[in-house]
Amino acid sequence: MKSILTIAQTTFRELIREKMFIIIFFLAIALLLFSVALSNLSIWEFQRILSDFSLASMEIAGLGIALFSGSFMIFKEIEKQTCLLLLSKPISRSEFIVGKFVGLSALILLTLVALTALLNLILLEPSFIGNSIVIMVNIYLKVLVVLALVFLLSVYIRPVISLLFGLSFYFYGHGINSVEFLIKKTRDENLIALQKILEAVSPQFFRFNWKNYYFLKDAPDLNDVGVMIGYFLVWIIFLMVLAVRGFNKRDIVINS
Amino acid sequence: MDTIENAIQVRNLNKSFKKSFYEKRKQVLKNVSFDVPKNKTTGFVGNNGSGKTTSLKCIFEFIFKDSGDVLFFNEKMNPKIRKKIGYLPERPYLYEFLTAEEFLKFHLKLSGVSMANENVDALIDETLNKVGLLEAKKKALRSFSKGMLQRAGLAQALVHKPEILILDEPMSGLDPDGRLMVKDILKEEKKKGITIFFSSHLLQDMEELCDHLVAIHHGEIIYNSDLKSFMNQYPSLEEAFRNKQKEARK
Repeated sequence: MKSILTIAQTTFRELIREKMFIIIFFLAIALLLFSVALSNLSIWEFQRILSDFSLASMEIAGLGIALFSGSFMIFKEIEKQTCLLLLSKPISRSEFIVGKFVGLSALILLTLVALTALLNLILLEPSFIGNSIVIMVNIYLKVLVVLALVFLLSVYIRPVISLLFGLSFYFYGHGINSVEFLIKKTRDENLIALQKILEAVSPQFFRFNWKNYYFLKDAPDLNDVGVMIGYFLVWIIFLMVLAVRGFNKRDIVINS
Repeated sequence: MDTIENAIQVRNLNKSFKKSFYEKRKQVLKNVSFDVPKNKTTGFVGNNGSGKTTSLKCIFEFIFKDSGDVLFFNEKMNPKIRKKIGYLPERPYLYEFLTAEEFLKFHLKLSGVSMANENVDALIDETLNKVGLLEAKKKALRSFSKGMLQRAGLAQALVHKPEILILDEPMSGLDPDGRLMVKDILKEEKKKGITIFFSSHLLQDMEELCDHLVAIHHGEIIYNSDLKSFMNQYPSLEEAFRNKQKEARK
């Protein structure tokens, strides 16, 4: 546990000083401020436009960090042999990969907390604060599922492919019902069967997509929040167990 | 007798790789067996691609051997053994946004040294001083030159006062001053009785530093004994090595 925290702390410290993180973070703030400007165009829907755009920009920021840092992190550690220094020490491969995941998760959490605070400062609506935290947790857990997936994939495949897979996984998870609807229209049995398989092995993000004004006004009840947290945690643990198992078995050699 | 005096024993190590799905497996290490005597400096010599780095990676279990055994003080690799080892891979990339001090603290923590220990700062300063980086203590590694980075890498291998130092091409890519400094550090550690095992293809450095020599050629060990006997009839290590390679080819 101590080693996991040490690796997590250093990963966090290293990433927070990286240009890419700073760029994504300020882009998210710019998007948030843009949504303020955009909301001014509407007389009646001011809060709604502001909330929807701001919450979307929060998710984009979290997803951007998870996809870019997550898919390149393990690959870079292996290609540049940094992990050899660490793994020669009395730490296990599992501690290494979990430490990296925890460090990056902490950075994403910090980003989302900062953006949620900024959103509340802009909205100045005390009744929204609690609900905005629930939405933040929802966004955070969704992003962590994607992060765990790109960690798993980057143990086996090149980072760009893992990034693209991660992105497709995220969009598919949000659009499963629309994809299902369209595929049913084709009446192609094979496609329908394939869709069913894909649906079974993908997290159903669309069922817990709470990043909009409706949920900011009236948060889902506690039961739903509990189910959402449990559902995403199971996915995160499942994907991370696979990532750890894969990393434990692979030879650490440069692929190029 | 043999087992007591050796810090590391490698026996019948075999490793093969398959580069792609369509290619045949290529045997990279063929029954590799050698010893690293305790409290001595052992050189691991061989041409590029002869299997030096693969052997070292197998020793640390970074890659999994097909068969064979590796023993440290008669034990298989375990966390207790890892605490006793300082390791530097060939040209590693270090976390460039950390300062030299943060970098060493990080490695000390991973080596199991408690940060509550009052001597931690002194230990870091002593190590940085040893590798000539004390003045750069607060500087980020990204501002370091190649030679400085190699010395920082060496510092992380030394900082927890290991009993065994395993270094993969520690002098590679260094300018003459840098090489001299690394050699001086290795000599100093040798005086303290640290077991040193390092790979290199720079035979001059080997000749200067080693007591024991392990030579590898195309994945096979062609020599594993003391340096003096290896050089017995030859004026230089280079000639002795060339002759051993010729013998191996026959």
